[in-house]
Amino acid sequence: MTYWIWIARRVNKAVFTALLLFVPILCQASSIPHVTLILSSKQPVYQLVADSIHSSLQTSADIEEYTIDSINNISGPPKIVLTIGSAAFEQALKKFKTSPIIASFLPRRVYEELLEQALRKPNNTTAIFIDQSMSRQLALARLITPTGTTIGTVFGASSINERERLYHAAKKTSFNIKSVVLNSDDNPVNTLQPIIQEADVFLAIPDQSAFNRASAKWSLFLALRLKKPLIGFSEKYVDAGALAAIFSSPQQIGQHAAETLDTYLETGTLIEPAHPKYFTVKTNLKSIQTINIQMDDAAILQQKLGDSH
Amino acid sequence: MSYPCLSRFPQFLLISSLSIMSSASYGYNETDLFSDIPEIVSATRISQNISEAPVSTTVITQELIQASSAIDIPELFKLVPGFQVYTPNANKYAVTYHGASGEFPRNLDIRINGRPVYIPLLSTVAWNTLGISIEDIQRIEVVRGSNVPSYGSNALMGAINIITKTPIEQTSHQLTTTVGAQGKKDVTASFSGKANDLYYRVSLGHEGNKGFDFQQDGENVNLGNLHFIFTPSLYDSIDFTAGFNNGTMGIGSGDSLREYQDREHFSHFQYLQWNHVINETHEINTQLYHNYLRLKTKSFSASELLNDPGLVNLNAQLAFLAATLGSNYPFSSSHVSDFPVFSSAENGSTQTYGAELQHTYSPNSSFTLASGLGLRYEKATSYVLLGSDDTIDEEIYFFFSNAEWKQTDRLSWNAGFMSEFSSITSPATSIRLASNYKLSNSLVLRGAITQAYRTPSLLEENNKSAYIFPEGVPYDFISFPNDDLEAEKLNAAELGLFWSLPEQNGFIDLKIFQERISNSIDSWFYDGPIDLLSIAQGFTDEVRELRNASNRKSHGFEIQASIKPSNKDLIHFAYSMTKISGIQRRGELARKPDRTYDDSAPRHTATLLLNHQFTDSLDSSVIFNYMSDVQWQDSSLIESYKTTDFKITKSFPTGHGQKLTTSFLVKNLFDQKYSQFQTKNIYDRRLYLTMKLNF
Repeated sequence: MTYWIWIARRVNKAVFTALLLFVPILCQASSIPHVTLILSSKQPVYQLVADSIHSSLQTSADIEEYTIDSINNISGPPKIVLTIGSAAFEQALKKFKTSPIIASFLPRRVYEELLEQALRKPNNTTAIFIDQSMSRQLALARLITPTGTTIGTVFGASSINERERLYHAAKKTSFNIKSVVLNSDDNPVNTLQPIIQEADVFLAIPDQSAFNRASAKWSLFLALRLKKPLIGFSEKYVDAGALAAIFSSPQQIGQHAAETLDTYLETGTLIEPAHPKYFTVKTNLKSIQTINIQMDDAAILQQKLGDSH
Repeated sequence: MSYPCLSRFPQFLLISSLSIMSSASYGYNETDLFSDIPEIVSATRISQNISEAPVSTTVITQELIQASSAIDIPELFKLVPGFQVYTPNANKYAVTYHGASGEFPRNLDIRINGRPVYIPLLSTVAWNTLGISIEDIQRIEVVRGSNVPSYGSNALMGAINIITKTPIEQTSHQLTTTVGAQGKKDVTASFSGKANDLYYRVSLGHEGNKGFDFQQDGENVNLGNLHFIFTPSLYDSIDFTAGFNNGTMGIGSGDSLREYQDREHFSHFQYLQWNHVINETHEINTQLYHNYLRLKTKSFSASELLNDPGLVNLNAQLAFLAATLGSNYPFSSSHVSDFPVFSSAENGSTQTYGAELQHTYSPNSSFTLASGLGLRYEKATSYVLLGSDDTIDEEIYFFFSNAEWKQTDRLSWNAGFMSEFSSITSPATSIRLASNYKLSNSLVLRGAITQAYRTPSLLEENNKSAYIFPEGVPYDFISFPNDDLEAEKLNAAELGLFWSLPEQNGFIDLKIFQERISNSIDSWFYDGPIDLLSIAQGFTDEVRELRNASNRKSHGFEIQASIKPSNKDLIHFAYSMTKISGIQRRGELARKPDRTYDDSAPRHTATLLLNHQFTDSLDSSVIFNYMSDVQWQDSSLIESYKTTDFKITKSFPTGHGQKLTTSFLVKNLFDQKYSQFQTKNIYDRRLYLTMKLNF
């Protein structure tokens, strides 16, 4: 009997030990984090960011993907929300007042404006912006014109919000800024010509697409005519004739967003909002020849800008 | 308390505007960074880069123009795969795609800055009446393949849009002169500037040469054009261009010297274009234009041509016939008097008035729709071609829509149609469906199918030619109109592969194609009404009318490569293999048997351009051109050529901001002689010197 009691106790101990051993595993299995991914739409450009997040994420996570059209299907407040695009971030702010949000693939000025309107605690929200920091763009300008002193630019109704940041970055890089606001009823050529003429390099700051198209058409013509370098903000800008551009692809932003998510899942903290860590520099050979400027290849420029923020 | 409905409207507007403002920073978001900066528009009327276009497209860039050996505009098209350029006379250029053309190729739509320059009176383009010179050109977009769904009937086999230099981008005044073979003496000058808010560019030129040796087909023309740009607001731009071309050009065949004669021409055009961006998603483009062309050749008296002073012999024969045949005498008079006869068909005047409105709608970055409507009013007067001095006209109304849908990042679709309604022919609707699939970041596969119709031109509907004495006695009936003429039909399919080579700053484009043209419009010969010539020739004189009686098909492949292995090198390669077959039915007369199309297009055409920049001021090009055997319609010659051109260019700074550029060009460096279109149109080694002063 004593023997059987002893055996029973041993079995109980073994079972208990086994259970103790399995608890962390069971706990681990049940604690795979849930991530709610919200896309602004099903357009390919947003899907590219999402695909990049899926493929770059190191931490095991259960990712549920929604668009703003299906946002109402989300049950309960998510543990962590990752948004792709401005509209997704806007909807997430409205719907999930307390859930932490990582916003990605949206312009800085849109993020700041929406966050301010939402009256939300800043410590549970962060962002990976789509646009490049002013200091990185001016660093590129400095590489293109090592002795240049003046940067010219025009602001539209939206990009005027970048004015302070541009002036602040210019001070750090010893550039003077010559700028003007280009309103819809202004003559674009008359407005742009003196700015481009007096600047050593012209920096195009993104605004609404109609403004971008309209101002690009004339600024590209004038920059080539006046033989001045023009720095664009997208690959298409360079294809159309800009001397150079610095930009991040949807995949690069997706990768950075995935790293931010990894950090949150591992540490529970959100890093500060940031401009894209990964970026590309592209130059236009024909424009380089037309304005007859000596400058490094795009790959070398990119390398030199590697640690700029 | 209740408010009237009307008073709520301002509240609604205020709330709406606030909600838009609050959604994002003035509507700005991430898609604005990916929006298109315009590149090519000719294929679909939608801004696309070459890899996105639904059909194969070639852009002849300014860089390529500078590196090429072209000294006249049509020569540039040798750089385009599948295009052929030939000269029925020294200064009469013919440009065609996939052959099957004669002295007046009719299946390409040519535009300058979007303005059609097709001549309804001749069913072709008269390249030396355009009012622009090669120095005025910034770049050329060439759609290789039918583009009727975008630009209408005349683009049955392809479309060319020549984009000229704008007043804003021209960096300096320019004076250019070229002298060389065949007594060539060209000079052009262009000036640009600004007056108040108006930017302008003025170009004037003179072109002259003596033509082929021992031929009388020289040229002596003056031309000019001006371009104004006015940008009243950020979202409005207004372009106005106008120009003229005036001079003479030798035309004719080489069979006898007497057949050469000077053709005088005077042309002018006016073109107004207004582009208005309404908002992020809507854009309006409006254009109005007018083209005028008058052609005139020398007339001869009938007695001179018949070598019968006073028509004494002819009248004696008529009197004999009348006496012999009695009541069976077929003519209205037994006596004729002298009258002027034009031995060339290039006589008359023609005008085209056009208006077009296009709306481009882009609700998001994945979808763009370009739709519009327009009308073209064409009128022509030509006794020689239309049988009377009356003016004939045609009204053509058309509407179109082209859509681009980027379904995924890899897959995109293009679909488009154009419907044309003419006052003299049946309506026709042409359609195209195409898809592009990105196999990788550098490889794009595309496929397109097109069903297109080319409605008969004003000339084809009304061509009536005869030589008739003032008394009503016909000397020779040549052609009669055919009221049953229908549109030509094209079915085409192409499969293409675009391979981007970013490290080489270039690309390679491959295309496999199949085309079938049914109901093709060609001459149909038959025994016509009795005339004096038929009596003189023993009743073996025929007349012709145009009929939808021919069919042809072609297939083949094309390669286009543009590569820059280094900052100092440019390689451009164009190759086309075309196999054409079909029957050109010419009627039931034994003396006018049917013909095959087998030799009507060269099996192989190739161009290789190599340009190297030795220093910032010295560069050279070698251009190799090859075309295998072809027999153009209206020509008895079977021709081919293989030439090598060499060009060296040196620039000299001549003062503050001034530059003198000198080019020395040797065409057909190895003197491999060949004839084009006529045996005596001999191309041998030619030397040219071009000096260009920018100041």
